[in-house]
Amino acid sequence: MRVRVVIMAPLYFGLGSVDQIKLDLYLEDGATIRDVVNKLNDIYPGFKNKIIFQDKIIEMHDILVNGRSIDFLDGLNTRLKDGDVVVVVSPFGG
Amino acid sequence: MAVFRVARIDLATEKVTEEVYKDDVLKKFLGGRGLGSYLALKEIPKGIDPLSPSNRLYIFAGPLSAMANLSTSRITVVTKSPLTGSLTHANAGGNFAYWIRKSGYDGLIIEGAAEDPVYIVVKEGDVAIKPAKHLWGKWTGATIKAMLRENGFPEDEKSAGVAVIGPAGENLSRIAGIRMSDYERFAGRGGVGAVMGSKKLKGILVWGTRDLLRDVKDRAKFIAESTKLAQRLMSGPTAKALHIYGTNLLTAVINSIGGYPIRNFETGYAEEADKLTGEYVKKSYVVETHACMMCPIACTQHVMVRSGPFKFVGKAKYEYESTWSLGANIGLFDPEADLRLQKLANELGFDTISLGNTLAAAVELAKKGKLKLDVDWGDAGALVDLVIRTANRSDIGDDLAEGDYRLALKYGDPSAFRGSRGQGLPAYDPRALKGFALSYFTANRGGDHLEAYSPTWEVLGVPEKVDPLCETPECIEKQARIVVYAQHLMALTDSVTYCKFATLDREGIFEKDLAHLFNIAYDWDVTPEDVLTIGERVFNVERLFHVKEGKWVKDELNPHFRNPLPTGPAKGHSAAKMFDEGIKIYYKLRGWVDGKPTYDTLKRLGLEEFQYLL
Ligand code: SF4
Repeated sequence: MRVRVVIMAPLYFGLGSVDQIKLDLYLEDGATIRDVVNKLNDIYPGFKNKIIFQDKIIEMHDILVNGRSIDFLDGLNTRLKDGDVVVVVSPFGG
Repeated sequence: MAVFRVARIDLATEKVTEEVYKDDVLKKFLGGRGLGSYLALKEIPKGIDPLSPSNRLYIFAGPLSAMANLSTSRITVVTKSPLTGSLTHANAGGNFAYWIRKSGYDGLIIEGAAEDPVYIVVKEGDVAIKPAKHLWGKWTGATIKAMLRENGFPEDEKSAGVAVIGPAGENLSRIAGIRMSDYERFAGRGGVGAVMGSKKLKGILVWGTRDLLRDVKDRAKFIAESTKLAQRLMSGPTAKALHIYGTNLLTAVINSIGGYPIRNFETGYAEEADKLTGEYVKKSYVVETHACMMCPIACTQHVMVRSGPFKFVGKAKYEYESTWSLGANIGLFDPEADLRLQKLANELGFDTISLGNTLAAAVELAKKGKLKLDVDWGDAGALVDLVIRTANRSDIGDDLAEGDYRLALKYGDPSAFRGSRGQGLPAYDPRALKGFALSYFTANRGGDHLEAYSPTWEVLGVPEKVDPLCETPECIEKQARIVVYAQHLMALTDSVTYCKFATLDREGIFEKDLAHLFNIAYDWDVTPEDVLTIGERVFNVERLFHVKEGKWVKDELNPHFRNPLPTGPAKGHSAAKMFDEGIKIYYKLRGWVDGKPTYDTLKRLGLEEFQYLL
């Protein structure tokens, strides 16, 4: 299945791009957010440690699936389906 | 002991008197919004026209302003609002708070009105009132430069504190703000710029060399402790993200969760918002990062548009709120046109949020055939033209200058107004972030996200994470409780005065830290609970102003938000249940009945002197 991933604020996460990173990941059926993070870590080595600590999302950071925080879904075990949009959210203020 | 010196300036008689506030008042209200609201409630006569000479402007720093590298260089303006007809407070960063305290005063009270345009200069404790006829009509940037030059300063806005109005304020637009140095900072909301205009006051310049730590008993300890706090603040992730991208990181977050208001809050999501994001603007237009005086976070982004139909001269300060209000909310998704509109609004002296609300209401009315106006969503050329006409009050601009609430009423469609207490809402749809269903519609100044900022707990999880869409009894109870706490904390920040961006992070500055700093600085012995109670007291004082005026006492949900969101990730959600059920819990927590404090609440807060208002 294909999942669209958006990484907000790449400079904050120590990635080279200023603008958001958008990519399509092709995953096995039944894949979870944990699989997405692992894939992103393959593409951007070290990325996982910027968003996960002790198997949990680092406080004040978030991952959304179709606009819902995984905190209110099934956390890192949230299962994905074809066409889902996953957004990696940095801290912010306004 | 803390000492707060205020110059009271009567522009009609040119008389200046000095007032000193000490611990007995400061421990109850601090400065900024707290002291301003307290004095406004006591002094502003009931029922006056906010644009009459009887209105007053309280321009106050706070008892910790500019004393540490800790985001405390903020200034609050309190007055009776010409937009809402009751109390408002507007807060700006920059360097005005720093320079006013250096000038020998901690705040100014402006009353009366001059016959002809004037500006005020406060230097080393001396107040002078100077003619400003030659500056009347000038845009804000040019006015600041001229005032600096005429008073022997370099034109660089760092060299003194300057607050000015532009044509919008001069022409008494009810959505005019006050521009502050340094650079394009605004005390925006509530039409405070029009109050300056009604007093024929074009600007205020403040400068001096007073020792800001003069009342601090143990300087070394104060500096060491405030430095520790600043280091802790900077170790938090929100400070880092804010520094890199500024506030406009929010476009992506809020659009992703479906709470990004599009076309006057028609819906909460737009695919096209991509080019308005902080990331895109940073890549394409940001030229430098800037800080308010003594702020370690330095969140501000300056942009330039150097070519194309929307190019402008020099740089502009841009923010999330302004990008939304003069972009997505008026159906405009071209970042260059949006930034041009922001620059224009800053130069003409508008509150960008209310300007966007008003343009959005005008387009909606035009599209419904209620207002004869040739304009469409996102029609950049026509919208730029409308902004200029609004500042000058020429033809239809005369109606727009009255703001969204009056515009909607005049053209027979109150539903085109999307706000509360007469002021339009900021850049979050309360149907997708339900904390705002309570915080927006209980906010004392109306249409406000900064009296309790729900993304702090609904997205960042500070102090605890609450699902923004949840409507179970437990979630509603939790939302009401956190909104009350946040309203106290925000009233406290505005009274100290420090930046709310220092309260978003677990490593931020909270009541415990403030109590600690006050106790060192002024030899007080206040607890964190005492300090937070100041916030509660201030919030109640503001509500008492509404009680006194007999206006906006009961909290009401704007009916538009009873309709479900039609599209986007929060599709189907409305704000009705959270508001209708939450408000009962909210009133109970506050000790209020139907929006009004009870005698017992006033007594608990030491506000018995106002019991005659009940
Ligand atoms: S965080 Fe930003 S807005 Fe707040 S004081 Fe610092 S620079 Fe100013």
